Amino acid sequence: MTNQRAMPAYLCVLLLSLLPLNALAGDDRAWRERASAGATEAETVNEDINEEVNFGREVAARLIGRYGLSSDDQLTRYINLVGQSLVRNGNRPELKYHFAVLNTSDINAYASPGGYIFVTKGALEKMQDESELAGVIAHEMTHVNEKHVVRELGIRATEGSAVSGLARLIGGGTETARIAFSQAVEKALDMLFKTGYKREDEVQADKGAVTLCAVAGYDPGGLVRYFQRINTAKGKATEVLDKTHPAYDARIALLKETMTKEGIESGAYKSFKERFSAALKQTK
Amino acid sequence: MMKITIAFFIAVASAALFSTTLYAQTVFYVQSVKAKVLSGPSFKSKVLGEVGKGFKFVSSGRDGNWVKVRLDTKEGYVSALLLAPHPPIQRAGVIKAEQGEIKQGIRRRASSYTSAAAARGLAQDDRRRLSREEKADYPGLEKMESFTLSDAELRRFLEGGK
Repeated sequence: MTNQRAMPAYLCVLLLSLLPLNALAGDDRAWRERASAGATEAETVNEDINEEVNFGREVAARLIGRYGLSSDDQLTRYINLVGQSLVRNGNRPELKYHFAVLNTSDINAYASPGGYIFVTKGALEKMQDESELAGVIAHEMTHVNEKHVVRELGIRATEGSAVSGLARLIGGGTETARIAFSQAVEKALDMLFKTGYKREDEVQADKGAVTLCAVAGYDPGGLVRYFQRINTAKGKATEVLDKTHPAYDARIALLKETMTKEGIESGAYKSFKERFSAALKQTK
Repeated sequence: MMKITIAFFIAVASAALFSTTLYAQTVFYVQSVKAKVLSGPSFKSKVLGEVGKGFKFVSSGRDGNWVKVRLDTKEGYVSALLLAPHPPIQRAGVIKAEQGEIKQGIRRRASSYTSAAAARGLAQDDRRRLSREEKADYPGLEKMESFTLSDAELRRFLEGGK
């Protein structure tokens, strides 16, 4: 009887001890599998990055095609300055990030793989300081940094990928490859406009955003304030946003919990209200 | 009861040993410009030191979004957000691929989308979307990509200027 009780206790503890190990090992397992596929590690990774960037370019071109870019160079400069302030603190130094304002009154922001980040004019008009803008950009950057679209659609350079073989596409590739690429672009657009990211990816993007803001010196509470404000702005301007994102009450609660857990709920963080107001005033 | 206790301690000891062995094999590299090493898994913890991009850590564990590392003789934590399991990758490869052949490829592909859509028999709604809402703007994309900031401009901005 005693033995029968002792064994489960041993096994339970052992199994429990294994859980975090699996989670940890998962981080770099995929990368190592990729690296061991034949090419050298650097070549493999570079090919994947090229594939990601070129896929992202297609999606970004469609986003611009849908809404158009703001022609305001000062505003573009400002959003690039805020964006690059965050990029320095990110974990994808291999990407060249680009930031732009979309010419629409819709309240939203978008990320395309490879480092293409967009904020709409409608969203900017709802913001009150730079930390809010930084929070929104950091959220989108986290989608890119964590490769949410890339992983969801399996975009990589190796043969096993549905969208693989950019070289085949360029150098007179097969119709099948072109169709696969085109369909993947459409799926990505569906994610952005209709279905949204997976819930766990949105959670990761929210958590990553406040942390990235804090590391960059921006008030992480900026994203909370922005969410609270647009939570009350229901209508056509938030139609796509509401359709593709979880409810704001839950997101706000999660952000606050994350900020407390990470020790960033207070501190010497900046919101740059005056600089934000001055930048947006110049554009009007 | 005694056996349960012994089994428990053996389990904990073996799990700890196993964890240490596996964690000890995990290497992380700093990807951000700088990374602070803190005394605990919180941004409010004491700063033990700061390292630059490319710095290699051998991790001895993990606590949520924090990676447990050693800096000199001290044990500390670095935000996992700033790390990756590979050295920072140079941007050169991407830039090379973005130039020339890739751009040509994208221009060539733009026209292939219509035939691709026709080939797989898109629904009428999808075709409408492709032709109207989701048309690609490559000149706009190139304009977005061509925007650059100088290091001096960004430095001024980071220092609190405009």
